Amino acid sequence: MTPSGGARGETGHKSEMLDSLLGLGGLMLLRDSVEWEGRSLLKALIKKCALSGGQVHILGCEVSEEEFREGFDSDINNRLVYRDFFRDPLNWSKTGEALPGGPLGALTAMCKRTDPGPVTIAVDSLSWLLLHLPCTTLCQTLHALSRQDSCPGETPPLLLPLIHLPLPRNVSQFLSTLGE
Amino acid sequence: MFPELNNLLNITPDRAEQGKLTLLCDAKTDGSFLVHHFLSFYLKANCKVCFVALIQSFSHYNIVGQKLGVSLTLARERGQLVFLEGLKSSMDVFFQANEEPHPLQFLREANPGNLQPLFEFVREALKPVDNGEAVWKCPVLLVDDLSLLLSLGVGAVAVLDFVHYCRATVCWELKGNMVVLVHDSGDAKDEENDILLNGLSHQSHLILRTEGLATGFCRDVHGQLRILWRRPSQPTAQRDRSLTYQYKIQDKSVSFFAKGMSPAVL
Repeated sequence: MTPSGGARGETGHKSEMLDSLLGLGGLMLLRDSVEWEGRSLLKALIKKCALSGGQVHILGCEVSEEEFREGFDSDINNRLVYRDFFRDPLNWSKTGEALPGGPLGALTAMCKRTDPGPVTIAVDSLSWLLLHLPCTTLCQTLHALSRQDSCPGETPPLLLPLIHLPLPRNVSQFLSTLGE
Repeated sequence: MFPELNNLLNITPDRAEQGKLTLLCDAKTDGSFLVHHFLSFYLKANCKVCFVALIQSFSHYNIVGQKLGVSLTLARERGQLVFLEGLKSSMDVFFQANEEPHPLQFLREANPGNLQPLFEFVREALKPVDNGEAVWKCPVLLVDDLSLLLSLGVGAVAVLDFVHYCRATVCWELKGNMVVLVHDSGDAKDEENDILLNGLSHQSHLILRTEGLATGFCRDVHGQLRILWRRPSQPTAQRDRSLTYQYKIQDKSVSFFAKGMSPAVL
């Protein structure tokens, strides 16, 4: 097998793997560790969803929008709708530019479709939200979003939240209600 | 700074990376030599440095700095170094009028809220000068150490929020660097420290973790250093993600060697 053929084969396998993951639909919880970060996988899944023609919304809390968009070409970047909770999440600058409704309001608004077609909602990261919001409220919101009746007449969105291990002790059991 | 550590990290003052958060962590040992290393490194790199020094006095850091070839006194006089001496400043908190904002004003509060005043101090210290001339290279924030804030009653989430805002300003907006030290107490019941350490670990680009030897004190081997590179700027870069060395601290240097390869035993 030629090197180029080998590279094409590897890319093909990766694509098949991502397709099989995305085919599961619903809520797909991505868990990463300090040794192996999961943002790369999240971005690969986002890229796949964007190329499939659907809307992709990102709730970004941990890195800047520029850093998150790094590695995506302009075609992909134009399909991403980014809600920035990194720059001033707690409104310390008092500029009044904070997104109305906070992160939960932003998540709910992402479900309101402006165009027909599938919707993907990526959360970077659930760990940040869990530090600032009640766990039960957050889990109930995510569970409601991923259910069949969250968007009447439409396919429910695909949720891709990223969470960092190890989990805080009080969080593990509640996350089990998300039904990974 | 310690040249051997620079070699391990593949950095020099001439080509320091920008926009990075480095986490220093020590477990069952004293990792403060790493703080002294990065302080002298960034001063020699001609960076504007804001040092939030909560543990030791200015005099202590200056004496060690002189052994490593930098004068903190001189750096402070010419405006390169902004030094918040926690031990001294904390007295001002109690004897200063309440109306005046103070970076450590959380000490006045029975239930410390957020660390926004401390963040405002850092932002003011590192903001670019108005005349637009770049006298110094990128800004750098050093904190020694964040675990002390937990001991002073600040919650782990408040400390993480402070680091978040510093990252957004220093690393992203100003394209500078941050170096923070956190202790790993190893106490499974210390949930706040776990939250802080785990949260920072996931945000860091580089983690330097010093550990005491499992076998106890050794005259020729003072501990073990684990280096973990995360979030590489070039994902395909051929570089080990993790390395482990043992080390011995001497008067003006630190020597590193592979496990079991201490010169004393060879």
